Amino acid sequence: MSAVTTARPAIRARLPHLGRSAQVGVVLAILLVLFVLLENKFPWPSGLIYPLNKRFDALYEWIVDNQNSHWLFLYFFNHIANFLDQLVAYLNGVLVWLSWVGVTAAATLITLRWSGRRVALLVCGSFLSFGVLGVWEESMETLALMLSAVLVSLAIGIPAGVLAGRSDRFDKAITPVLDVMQIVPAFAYLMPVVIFFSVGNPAAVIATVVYAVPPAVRITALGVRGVARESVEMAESLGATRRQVLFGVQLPLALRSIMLGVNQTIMMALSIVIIASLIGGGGLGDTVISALSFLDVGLAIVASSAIVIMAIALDRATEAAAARMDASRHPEGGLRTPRFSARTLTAAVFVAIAAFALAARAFGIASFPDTVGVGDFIAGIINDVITWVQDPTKPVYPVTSWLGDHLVLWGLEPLRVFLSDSPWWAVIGSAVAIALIVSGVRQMIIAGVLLTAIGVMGVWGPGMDTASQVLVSTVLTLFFGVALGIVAAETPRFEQTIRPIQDALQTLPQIVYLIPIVALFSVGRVPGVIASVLYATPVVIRLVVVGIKEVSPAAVEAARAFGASRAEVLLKVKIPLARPAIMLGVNQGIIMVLAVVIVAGLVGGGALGYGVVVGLQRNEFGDGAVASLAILALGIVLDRVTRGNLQRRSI
Amino acid sequence: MSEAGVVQDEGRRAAPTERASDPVISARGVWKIFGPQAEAEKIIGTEAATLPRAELRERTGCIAAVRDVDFEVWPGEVFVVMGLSGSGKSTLARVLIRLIEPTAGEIRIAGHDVMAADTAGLRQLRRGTVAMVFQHFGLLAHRRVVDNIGFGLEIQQKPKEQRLDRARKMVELVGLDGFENHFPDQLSGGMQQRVGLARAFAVDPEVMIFDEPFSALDPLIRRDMQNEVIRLQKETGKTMLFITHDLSEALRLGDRIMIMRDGEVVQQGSPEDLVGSPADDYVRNFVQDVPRSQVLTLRWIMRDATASDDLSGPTAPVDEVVRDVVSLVADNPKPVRVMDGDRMVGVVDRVAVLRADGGRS
Amino acid sequence: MVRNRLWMVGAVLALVASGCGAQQSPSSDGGGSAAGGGGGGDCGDLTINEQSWVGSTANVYVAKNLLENELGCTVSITKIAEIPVYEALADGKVDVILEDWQHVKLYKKYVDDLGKVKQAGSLGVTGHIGWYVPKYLVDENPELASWQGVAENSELFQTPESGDQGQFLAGDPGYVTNDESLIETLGLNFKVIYAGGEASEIAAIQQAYAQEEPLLFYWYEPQWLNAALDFEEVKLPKRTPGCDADPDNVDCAYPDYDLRKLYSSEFAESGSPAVEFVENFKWSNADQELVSKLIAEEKMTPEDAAAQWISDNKDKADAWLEGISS
Repeated sequence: MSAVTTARPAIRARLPHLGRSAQVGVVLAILLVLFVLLENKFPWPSGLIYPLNKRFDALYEWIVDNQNSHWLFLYFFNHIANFLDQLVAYLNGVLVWLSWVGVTAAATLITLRWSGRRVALLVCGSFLSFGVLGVWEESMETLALMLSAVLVSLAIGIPAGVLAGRSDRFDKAITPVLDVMQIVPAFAYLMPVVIFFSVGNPAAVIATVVYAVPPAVRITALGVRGVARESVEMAESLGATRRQVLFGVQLPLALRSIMLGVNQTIMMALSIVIIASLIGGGGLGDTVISALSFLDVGLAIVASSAIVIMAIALDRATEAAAARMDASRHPEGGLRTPRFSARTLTAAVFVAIAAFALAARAFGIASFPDTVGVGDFIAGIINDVITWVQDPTKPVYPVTSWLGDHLVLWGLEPLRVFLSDSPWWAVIGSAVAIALIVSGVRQMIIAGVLLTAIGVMGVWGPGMDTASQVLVSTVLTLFFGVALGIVAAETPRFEQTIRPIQDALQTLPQIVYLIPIVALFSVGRVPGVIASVLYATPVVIRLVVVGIKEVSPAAVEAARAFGASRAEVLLKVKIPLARPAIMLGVNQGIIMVLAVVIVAGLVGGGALGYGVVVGLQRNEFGDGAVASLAILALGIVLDRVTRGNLQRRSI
Repeated sequence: MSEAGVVQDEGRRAAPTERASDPVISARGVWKIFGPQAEAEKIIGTEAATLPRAELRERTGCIAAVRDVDFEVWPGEVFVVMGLSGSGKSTLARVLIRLIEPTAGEIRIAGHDVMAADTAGLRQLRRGTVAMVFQHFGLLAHRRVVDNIGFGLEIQQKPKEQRLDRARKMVELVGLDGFENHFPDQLSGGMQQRVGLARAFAVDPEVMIFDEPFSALDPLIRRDMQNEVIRLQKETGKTMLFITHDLSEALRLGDRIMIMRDGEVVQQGSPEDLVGSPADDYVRNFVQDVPRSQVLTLRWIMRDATASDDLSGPTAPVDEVVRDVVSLVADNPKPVRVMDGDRMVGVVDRVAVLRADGGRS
Repeated sequence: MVRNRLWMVGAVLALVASGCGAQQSPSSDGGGSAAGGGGGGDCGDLTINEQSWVGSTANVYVAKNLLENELGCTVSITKIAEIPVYEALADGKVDVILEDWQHVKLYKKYVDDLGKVKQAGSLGVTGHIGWYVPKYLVDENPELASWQGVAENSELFQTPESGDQGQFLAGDPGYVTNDESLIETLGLNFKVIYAGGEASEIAAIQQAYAQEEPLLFYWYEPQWLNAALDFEEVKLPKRTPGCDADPDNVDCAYPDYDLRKLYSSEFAESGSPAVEFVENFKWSNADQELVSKLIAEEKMTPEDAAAQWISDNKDKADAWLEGISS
């Protein structure tokens, strides 16, 4: 760390007269000149390629050959798989036994008990909607799978988070692992997961857990770190053991954060349902995939809206429960004893759930009343709308196809050519220089090493192709995200209106809306760009809104007192002060865009995403693994470069 | 300086020479150097240890927070450690019970060798012998007042009934009756620190360590709380080590005061030692605004009787504070005879009293 | 607070335990009702994997209908992707797939080496892969019916995405393809753009078709869309022995595939009447396309489409069931 701070002034001194953005401009100008002079003269030299994919293939072969004989599989992975299988079956059994009446009652009463009346109403409606949409059983399968994955994720994530919160060394060791888990697309590790755990629920749970653990660890660690040092010292000064400190002080005080971690874990788990079904996870993912396979986008949307509804319901319920963890510390101001003890209430909730379930069986209404018509009716309407939108004689298509074509002609293709046909050393050199200017020596080294690694693995061309797609998508995401975020922060009604849309876009599986997008923008890179913009923009909006809203009211008041107009307050006070949050939005936006690159690979985006898809679909494990590693490298380069920027701006 | 001045309590002030028992706390050559452990240990005893703080940091990357500190606290005494922020006083408080691991030194508390204690021994010491009161109270927001007060006993795994019983008594002791079932964030800052006090008293420790307990409070409430500590000390006779950056607080509470700067002890002594003969300019600066008449005893301003003195005037004890003899001197033209027991040790006249209040020494 | 939570955990556990006790009942209920419909009680459960194209859905639901209603089996359906499903067959998570497009590499591993997967005979459907263009293009320009004609008119197929080359629309990267190799070996000025899946390829084809735009694409039979839109196959060079042996150097048309059924060895030896049914199950391209079209175009549920085909084709269905002891 100190190396960074001491080295910086020396380097800064060499370019004393230019601001940081001007320096970046100079670097890019040099690159442009080199591009013009040396276009296509320096492709990545084949002598500098290490056939890593062959190594991976060999490893894969070994695994396949040994999976039935090696102790590692017989005594380790198989036991895990069996345990997970039983866990999912168990939860499924509970949900089936409860029947729709019991499950709905359970969801409603539990949220009523811990999250409040309004949320309980929302949850009740949500669960009923699964039945009304005709996907009750699939929803329950997904719920059982998701609950298992969340339980396992928390069982791993919370202790790991606690450790990371208490030990700097562990925190440092685990951070890169978490980065890898979050950035490597789930598609990339489906095959290994299948090899280790076979197909079915265990594999689906594992794939989900890999994706859902990082937020659980990070948020728990943050919560534990957030506990005042003095509270811990207090307990230590009274002679508390480490256990007593943990359970008496750190965990209770971090409980709210941990609940938020639970919330994020659930969201992550739900966003991977579709992919999980590719390896035998079943549930709503199956419905969506088969609807898509016979081109019934309406039905696919109806089925995936169940996922979205589940996500929103669970999100609001856990969020409210977390919020009440503060408020409920002093029910009724702590002066009046509540009429029933918390214990009695909890017991009552569970007795009532059992009673509902038993009653449903007794009266023979254990299966949801037949409402086949409703889901189909909605699907029909959606299909009609989509047909209309796609119709080339109607006004939408001409606009979108024009936009799509020009996005390729003026954005994606020139940028791709610029990056992949410039001399490779010039591209790495300028990336390194920019990293240095923006984020410092340490990040410069990381950027240089990882970019070189992309070339060495033999995927320089696809890597630059993906980079160009990510850059274009990020620019669009930021444009829409920041613009809409500012509007949303200023007009609460607009914010309320778009919140469910944001939730839907974040949890709706991308493949669902890819088909209409393909019809509107034609096959190629554009659908991937659109999908990633749709996926990443909500996050940017959210961060911008939070940033602007958290601007100190005193600063705003001061500006008003000097007679600033609303626009002036926004432009001169709120946005500059919200800059750290907006920069965080940039960073998160890039990472999320990258997460969708894989989807772009599915619909003609080519590049690294295609490599990953091929890895799974054609059983080319080595190629898939290399493409995933390259995506990871690209992700870390972009993340670290922008994160450095973020830190320095916020100081 | 406040008008109330220094509270006098004859019984509390025993001269150091008269100590019959062993000290409750004794610290010898205590060091705390932040930085890599191996690096830090090397510094002690070398020339580097004498370097000014900034220079040491420049050279080794280590920060010496506590440098070679020696002191003793006697039973029933209130010992104040005073210094500005960064002087190492809070680190010292934590080092004493190894909340922060000292780099070197010898620490004994109530007969226990703190440095030699293993984890269990240390835990035992913290559970029964020492209790701490914190600057920001260190209350647990998710527990009611009684549960916060009983937390120390809970850690000792005392049965619940006993815990609550004791906690309720402590609630009474610190005057929080009626607030037992409140949550900390429903209380004012002063009340929250009463909870902190009660929690420390609840474990009935031999020594209490206060780490700037009132610096987060309003001045008026701070005064109340100081009085509260004085009252509680009187009632319970606990030995107290009190950290503060506030000189008036130090003077009000301290039987003896230790002033620290940059991790080092600058001066140790009674309040009147500091005011009467500051060790250096640093201490002099500190105490220059203190109304001397409220701190200094007659010992500091008396002179030997000369032949010309009329020794038939009134008498006053040698450790009487100057302010308290003002009217006596004013009413009597003859010099006041200063008595140490039955023996006359000097005289004080009007000039000396006026000078004492004049400030400069 | 902590106490409360413990209590809650206890309550949950109690509930879970009660759920566990009852867990057996739903599946035995299900088995019972299925058995009531057929008569043969010893069929038991089997799992069929449905692949990501409609033809596969048609196979699976017709088979499911008969297995459940006539043989009293309980059929569950999975939707595992094409490659991982081999692993699933190998460890018995999936018993049957009804339409396999001959993944040679996987055959070698799972069928020959490990012996955990067995071939269950032909599906009767012949798979054909080729290059296609819409009929209106050939009507206008007859030379586009052969690869030479396409080669000379590559500029006709240019899109922004393919730049100054012609665009060749491919489907799911997972499907059996030689396209890139063909284009290179035949020296064509085309760029392969993957649609990513059957559904999105269809969307792209339909869009081009609606506008009567030029389009050259990877396509196959049986496929229900062939009944809805008019396509012409582009003639590729004739097959010669070994012409596609080197995957990087293919210069001839795709072979016809005799699509096969696969089952796990474990299932094959189970003695269930379902085994014999799976072996018997065999229908034509036309039959499969009919059911596919009902599902994909007329938006019937797969269950209804299968039921309709069965009631219209009693004789074919009966033939599959003949001789199976039920």
